[in-house]
Amino acid sequence: MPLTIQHKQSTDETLSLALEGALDSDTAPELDAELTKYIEQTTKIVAFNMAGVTFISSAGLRIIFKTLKLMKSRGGQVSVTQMSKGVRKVFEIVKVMPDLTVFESQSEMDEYLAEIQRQANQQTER
Amino acid sequence: MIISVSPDGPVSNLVTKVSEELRDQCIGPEIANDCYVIIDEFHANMREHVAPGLDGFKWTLSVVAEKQGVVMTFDYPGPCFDPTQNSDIAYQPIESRRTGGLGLLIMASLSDDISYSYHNGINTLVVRRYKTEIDISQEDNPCL
Repeated sequence: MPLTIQHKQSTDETLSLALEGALDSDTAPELDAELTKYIEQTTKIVAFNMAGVTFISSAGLRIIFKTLKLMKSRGGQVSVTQMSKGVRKVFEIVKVMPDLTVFESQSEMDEYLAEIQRQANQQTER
Repeated sequence: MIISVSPDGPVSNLVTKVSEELRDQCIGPEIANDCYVIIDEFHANMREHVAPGLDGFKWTLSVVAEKQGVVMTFDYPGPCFDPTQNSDIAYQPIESRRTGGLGLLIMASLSDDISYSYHNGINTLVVRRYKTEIDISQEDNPCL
């Protein structure tokens, strides 16, 4: 099953992607290339909507880890939302959940990202 | 169902064939998705660690859907290597885990039983994913 990567919204500090399909050894390189292309020097938060992800294997997890490591080095974070039970199970196996910011719905994540952006704008104005 | 697999091919072809078989055998999506993850882990391992440098290398997957769940048998030629005795099969922090060991942990965690044997130059890994009561109650059984 192919992976579809859709850009939901992006600001200077955030990159938000919706993924659909399988995140496996065939498709993980596509996500890696997309992230390399769109993560800017200023990006601190990468948000993944996983609602359409049917399954994720270690190849996909490695891309999430790589992104998490980069964002943490910048004082940022990786957030995920709407994981299926099976996808959540794989994240739990590798015990990465505490390092991620997890949302149940896209609207929760949108509110959070909007708040982050408001704070960034306020700091810029000062 | 038995499939001969070239490690150079995409895993999606394999997953498509297995998904048809599991659907025909009324296996629910939760067990099916766990099976696809296990298959991808094995396929990636063959492609990255076993097949390089071996011309015409192929491995074989047998999938049997039973009343209790799914039994997947992975066969491949090569030196004896028992992954069930490998330390990567246990949890280790991401920071200290060696590259490539993650797949084995995931395979072991998603399956209910893994057994290994070696005969006449062929490694055989049998992976079982049993139905739980929750799986059974959530099954949308198209065969009924």
